[in-house]
Amino acid sequence: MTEILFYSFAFIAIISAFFILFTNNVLHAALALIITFLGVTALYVFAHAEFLAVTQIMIYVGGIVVLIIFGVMLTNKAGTSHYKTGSTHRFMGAVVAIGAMSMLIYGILKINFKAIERVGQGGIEELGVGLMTGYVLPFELAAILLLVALIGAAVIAGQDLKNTENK
Amino acid sequence: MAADLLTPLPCSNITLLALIALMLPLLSFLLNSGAVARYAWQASIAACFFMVLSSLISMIILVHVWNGTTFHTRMTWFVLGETGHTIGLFIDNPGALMIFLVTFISLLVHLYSTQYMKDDPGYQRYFAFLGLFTFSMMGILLADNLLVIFVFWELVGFSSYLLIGHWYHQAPAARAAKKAFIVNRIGDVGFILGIAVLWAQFRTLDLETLKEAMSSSSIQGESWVTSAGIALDTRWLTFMGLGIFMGAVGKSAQFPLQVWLPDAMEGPTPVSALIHAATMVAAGVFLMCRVVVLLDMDALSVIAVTGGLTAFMGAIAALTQHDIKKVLAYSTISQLGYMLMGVGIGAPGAALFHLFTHAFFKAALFLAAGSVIYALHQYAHRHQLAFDAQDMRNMGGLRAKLPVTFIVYLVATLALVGVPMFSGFLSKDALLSASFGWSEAMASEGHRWTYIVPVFAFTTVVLTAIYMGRQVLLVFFGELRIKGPADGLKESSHMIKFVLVVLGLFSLGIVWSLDPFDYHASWFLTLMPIPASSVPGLEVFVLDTARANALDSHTVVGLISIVLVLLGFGFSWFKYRPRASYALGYQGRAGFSFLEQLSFKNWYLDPLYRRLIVNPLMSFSRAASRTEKAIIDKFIDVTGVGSVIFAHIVGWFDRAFVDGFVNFSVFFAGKVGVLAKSFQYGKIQNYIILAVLSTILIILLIL
Amino acid sequence: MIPIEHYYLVSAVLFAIGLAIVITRRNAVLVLMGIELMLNAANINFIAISQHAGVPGQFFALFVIVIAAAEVAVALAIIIRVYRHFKTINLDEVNEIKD
Repeated sequence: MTEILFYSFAFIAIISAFFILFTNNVLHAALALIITFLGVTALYVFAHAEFLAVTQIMIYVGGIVVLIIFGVMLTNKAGTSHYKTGSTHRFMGAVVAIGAMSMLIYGILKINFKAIERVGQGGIEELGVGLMTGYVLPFELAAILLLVALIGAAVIAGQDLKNTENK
Repeated sequence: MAADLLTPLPCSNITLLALIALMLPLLSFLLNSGAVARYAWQASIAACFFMVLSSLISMIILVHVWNGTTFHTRMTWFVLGETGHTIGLFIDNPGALMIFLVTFISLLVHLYSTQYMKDDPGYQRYFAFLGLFTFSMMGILLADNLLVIFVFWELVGFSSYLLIGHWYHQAPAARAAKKAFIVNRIGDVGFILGIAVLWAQFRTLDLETLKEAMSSSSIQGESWVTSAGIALDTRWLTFMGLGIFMGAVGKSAQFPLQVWLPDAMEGPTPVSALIHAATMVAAGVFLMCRVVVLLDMDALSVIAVTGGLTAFMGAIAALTQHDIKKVLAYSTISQLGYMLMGVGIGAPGAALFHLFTHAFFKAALFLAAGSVIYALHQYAHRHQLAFDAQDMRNMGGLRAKLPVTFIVYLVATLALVGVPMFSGFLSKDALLSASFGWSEAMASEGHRWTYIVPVFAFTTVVLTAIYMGRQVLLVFFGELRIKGPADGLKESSHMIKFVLVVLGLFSLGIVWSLDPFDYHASWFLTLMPIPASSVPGLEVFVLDTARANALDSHTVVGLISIVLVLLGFGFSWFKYRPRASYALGYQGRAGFSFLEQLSFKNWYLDPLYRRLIVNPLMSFSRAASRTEKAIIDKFIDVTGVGSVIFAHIVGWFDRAFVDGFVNFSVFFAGKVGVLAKSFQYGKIQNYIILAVLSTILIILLIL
Repeated sequence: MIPIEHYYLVSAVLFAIGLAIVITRRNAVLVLMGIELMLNAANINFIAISQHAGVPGQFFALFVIVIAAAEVAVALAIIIRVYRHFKTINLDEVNEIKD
């Protein structure tokens, strides 16, 4: 049962990823991205990473995709293009992507996953304690990084606004 | 061989004093050239003060050498290879007397110039150069070494150039200065050749050592051999003597180089008195007296004849001059001829004696003439008249206006002409007697032609009386030929009068000899050592005979010369007396007979030299210049063109091959660059493709 | 229990699709989406291995998510700037290096 569910979620994710690859409508692509993310989130759940699954939904679906949709809307002249876009380098893209994929698959198949020693899987408590003890420095750095990115994004995007208002 | 004779000699008080006396004029030069223009007057007073000190010192020196002692200080100057050059001071009786003469006359000229030059814009420069001149003149007198003498000799020539060209902004003065300088150079060529011969023969130029070395050398067959065994052809001995004499010919304005002296009258009158009467021109005579012991018979004869000829020629040229200073200039040439004749006939003592008496009375004449010129200048200035203040045609009747000047002029004239009771009589008598005795002695040896020398000498006595009588009559007697107001022509300041009177006193015979008719009684000649000449091959006995003959003939010669003087004065009174036709028509005098022209133009020497020497030289220079342009320049041009062509070829090679290689490298690098650039043309996705492909390739390679 | 290889295979496929999106799409926002997809593919690996290797895998995944968020914020800001400047976000036309 879990296997069927796993494979169907994986299938959904891959299908919607392909949709992103081939669609000409940016907004449809953004919606397909949501579905892909949700599929991936399901994979997380199957891997017993519930906290990360929740984080994934909140950040990606609730934040990032919304941001992307805002970006799509801000960067399209309303009513003229209908969010249409095209693609280039199709052949090279296919070659590179297939090459990368076959190499990855080749590598994966060579790995002997049985040799990995099972040390027990992390629960959510372990995650919280780890963040406050051994991983506190990366945690704080991530906080500072977010702050810097916030300010940087505001500065980069907002600079011209003032000028246009002045005009 | 002379090494033991060249040892350094210790310093004595006297030589030290002489050194101070030598340095004082140099100090004056430095002070006057360095002083601020505002203090020019003070600096000139200081210069006078230095000259007072210097003449006092020379008096002290004179007292110390009076009894015949000599002082000699010498040190090694520099060493070239094995041979050392020495430098030193040498003072003997004639030297000390000359130092005194130079400092004293220079002092008087300094004093005179403070008045005469006081309105001149070049006042400070003038005094500076006076100091420089006095310094270099003293250097000639004090040096013990021909090389050092030559250095100072040149310095004298140079400072006289500066002084003659004092008014260098006037073309004639500048020309005269150049002429004097160049003509002097011609003589100096001979001088330095003579020095070179001496050096080649004896390896030293120290005069005392040279005397020793000369007496130890000998004539062996056709060659002149020193004690060290260096042999030269005997002709070099004569050549050496004539070479040094040529230096004196230039400096002392002898035939054929006398042409510069009349032109040098363009300088300020005190300078004429200092340089062209008393000191610079006397340097040649003094030098010949110094080196007379190194001269052989042939050289001496040439000197005697040249001196006599110059005396005659100068006197002839003086007869018809109009410029008051030019008369004196030609007279100076004539008297210098006497002196060198004295050297040539083996009577250097008499020559020096004449040099002394001449220095004083000729300085007196020049300064008195300067006083006349100055007075006329002031007169012209006061009444806004324009006339040449030096031209005798504008003078006349100045006796009443300038009494002091007139008296001094008259005294000096009588001395110059050789009237008994005056200084010139004594010295001239000595020279005339010596010349007469010499030619007798030479004639007894078979050289009858030598009578020409006393003939020249006695003729010159008459001529001197004529031209000096003419000058005095034309300047001081009769009426003033310039039409102008009677007032305003007056004697110059007291300083000028004082100097004139001092010089006039020295022109009196009593100063030089207690017995004014017999030069043998003169203290001066007793001080003069008879030169112990020991040149190999010199017939010393001839000179001794000449001296003995001179003693015998002295009375006759004195009487003859008095008669000749009276003759000359009589002629000149007859011809130039105030109411005579010559004096009446003098102002507008223009036409000349041929003989007068010959005299006035100084024997046509200047045109002659121009035609014979200057013009050929100029055309030779022009030809050389043309040759240079036509051949050497052409060659250089061809070389240049060839170089340019070669350079073009090299340039082409450079462009085609060297640059080609470089250009190809650049081209190649450029193409590679373009190729590399084609991967980076801003398409970000292409970058990604390449990056991923490369990554895949790397991983494949690793695997 | 799902074998880890399967997670990895899904991850590899997703990564390849993301790469294809990044390379082929013209629209900058779509390129950004491709990047997010690739990041997610990587995350799947971390999570999958954390079943056996323990918590560190989840920490890495967590930080990747954080960095992805920051990256999207900055990237969108840049895209908006680019749009203002060039009046397009078509990557073919956004090119100032002319040859």
